Amino acid sequence: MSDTATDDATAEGSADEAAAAADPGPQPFPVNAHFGNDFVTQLVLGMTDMNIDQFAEAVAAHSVGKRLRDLGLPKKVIYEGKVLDGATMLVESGIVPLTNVYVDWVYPDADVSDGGPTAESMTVSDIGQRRLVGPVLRMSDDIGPVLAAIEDDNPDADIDVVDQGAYVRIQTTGRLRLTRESAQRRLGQRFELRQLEASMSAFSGRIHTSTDEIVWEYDEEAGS
Amino acid sequence: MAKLKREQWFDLTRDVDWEFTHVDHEAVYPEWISGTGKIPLDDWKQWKEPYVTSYPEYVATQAEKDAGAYSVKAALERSSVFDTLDEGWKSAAKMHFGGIALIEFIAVPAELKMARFGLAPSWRNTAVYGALDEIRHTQLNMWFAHELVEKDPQFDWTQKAYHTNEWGIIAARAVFDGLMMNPNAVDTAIQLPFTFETGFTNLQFVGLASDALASGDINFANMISSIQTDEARHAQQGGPTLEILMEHDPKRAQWVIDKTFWAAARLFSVLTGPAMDYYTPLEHRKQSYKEFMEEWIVDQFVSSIESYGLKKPWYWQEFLDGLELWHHSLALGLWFWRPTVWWMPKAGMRTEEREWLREKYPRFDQEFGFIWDQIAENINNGDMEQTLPATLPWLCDLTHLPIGTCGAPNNPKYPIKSYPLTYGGKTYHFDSKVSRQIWWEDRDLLHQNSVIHRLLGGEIAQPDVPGILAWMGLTPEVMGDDAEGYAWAADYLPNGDAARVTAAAAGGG
Repeated sequence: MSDTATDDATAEGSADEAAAAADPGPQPFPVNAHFGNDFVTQLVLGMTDMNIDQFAEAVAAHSVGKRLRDLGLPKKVIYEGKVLDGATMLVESGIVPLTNVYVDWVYPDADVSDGGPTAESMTVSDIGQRRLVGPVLRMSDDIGPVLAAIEDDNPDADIDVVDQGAYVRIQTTGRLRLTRESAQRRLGQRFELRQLEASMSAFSGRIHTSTDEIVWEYDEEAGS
Repeated sequence: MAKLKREQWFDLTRDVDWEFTHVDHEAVYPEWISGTGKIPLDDWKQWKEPYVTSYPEYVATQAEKDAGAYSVKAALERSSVFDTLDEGWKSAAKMHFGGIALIEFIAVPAELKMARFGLAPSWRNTAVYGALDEIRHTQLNMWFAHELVEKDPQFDWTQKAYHTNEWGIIAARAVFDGLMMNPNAVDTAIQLPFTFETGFTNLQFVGLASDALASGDINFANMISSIQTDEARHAQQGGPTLEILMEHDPKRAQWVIDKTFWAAARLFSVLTGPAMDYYTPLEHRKQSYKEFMEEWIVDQFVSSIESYGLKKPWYWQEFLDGLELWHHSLALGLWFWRPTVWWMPKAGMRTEEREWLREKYPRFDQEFGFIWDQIAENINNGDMEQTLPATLPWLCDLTHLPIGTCGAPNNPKYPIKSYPLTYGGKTYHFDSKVSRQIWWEDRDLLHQNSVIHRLLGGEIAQPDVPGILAWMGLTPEVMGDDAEGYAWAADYLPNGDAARVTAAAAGGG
């Protein structure tokens, strides 16, 4: 584990003190800083005796060489949309402690200075809801018989079975039912519908349970 | 002897209520914790649970479930299965145990709040089962992890994690306070059973079970999928409550779902996303995190909310776009700040793993590849200090996750950017506009101070990286390090053989 660059400086490091103190020597100057195209913003402790160029190096030290290639270019500090003059002292630059500061390379060609390659549009699209209903069964030797019983009870349904190993989805659109009669034919006379609970990790649709039947369905009329 | 059908007697017990003569209704069901709001008290009489269970049935079924879960555990007790598991998969299990085990336990008082202050007797009855369920889940998680502590001390964080100020735990605590501890009974029913347990827990407890089983962790797969069978039942407290709320105050219902969904989506992108797409061994991944999210959340959960007449949350497109980005950013952050976690983060950056990521997430290389390239180069040069952090990422005041992890480095639509707000003389920072808006609405309910504020406020005695780690409770024997001893970085050298030597040397540093 490496040490911070400013190990000795933060014991009383509140922002107001940092900004106000002059006599006790250099004080820490914490900001929420981002460098170039790094993937997070970070806590960076500037010091009150730094100028903007030195401060830019302090910010860069937490990104460049660690997660970003060192391009060896000059750096610029951007605050509230304006590029600050490198020779200005940090405390006189207008930067308020604890606010956002952006540091970036000064690219020779301004056109490629920000943003990197042009982004394509996102690939996730909002897939339409298919309003599928039915149980999701966890791994057990009941899956086959339960599926068979559901097929017995829903002869007209187009039943889709999705096997993910530890779980199996049995689903269709609209409505699916499982009766005690079919379950007992497939799983044995002692089987009670309540026992399905032990294999049913989840389900889609709304459920209705009684002693003789379990139904999964969606009312097509929303809000009912 | 033929038993009566449940329907023939059950209303006598599930729906018994009292009219108070010596005290006001308000004294027994205070508004601040019951939360009826605009709903007339009489309307609660309509509350009817769709997934009906009597107490005798509950006891019989739960006993059968426990017999199943514990007998598998007993059978595997003397096997060497655990020792053969991939280090990355073990990390997924450690994240689960540390992040979830004690949350099962704070779900007990959340269920008990509904069991006591819920406004319909049938609801209170259902919530009692919920509380008993959550006790079972706590016990299962604690007991299944306990036998692993002697093999690997990181499993001790099953019990320890929530007694620390580890940053991820603060993030999780903020989410679960927000959906279990803070809200009144009505809002709890919408947030916990409806939004969280019919939506997100399926991803962790059913989706991840398929990765667990494929990875050979039969015990874990068996435990979490058994737990979720309880959730599937007691989560049904949400629907009837939501139905009644929709009649009188749909705006409230929509807001409560929207804010809970956002908090959960952000948290799962750090908890479940890396486990599925980085830590599960490539050959055992059943689907990508994005595909699991599409199956369980985009498809199934949205069908569910729309069936109640609700809309998708206002930030829906931002959430969908985030499925391409958020968890990659967080997996990278977990790896880079690996001493701050109680598991061994796996880079998941071997050539074939990276190809898989590119195939599943076309923008992966553009957004994150160049950062991993630099890290691999530092490892291969033996420059381990440069692979370790010297400061903290700035953390969002709502989600407590690093700022930037709602976006991506080269993305013009969601760039790496903080969304600040100055309020009451203090500057707050947020990972997104959505987080800022939720914080603003809920600011009087939010009490988790971020690690950044604690650090700058002087709460951490030794404010450098070693001091912060000590303050987070991370002792040397549990502190995270690369899951593969950095061997993966050899894939990035032009000459693979020479590389392995360097990587092995670096592994010691």
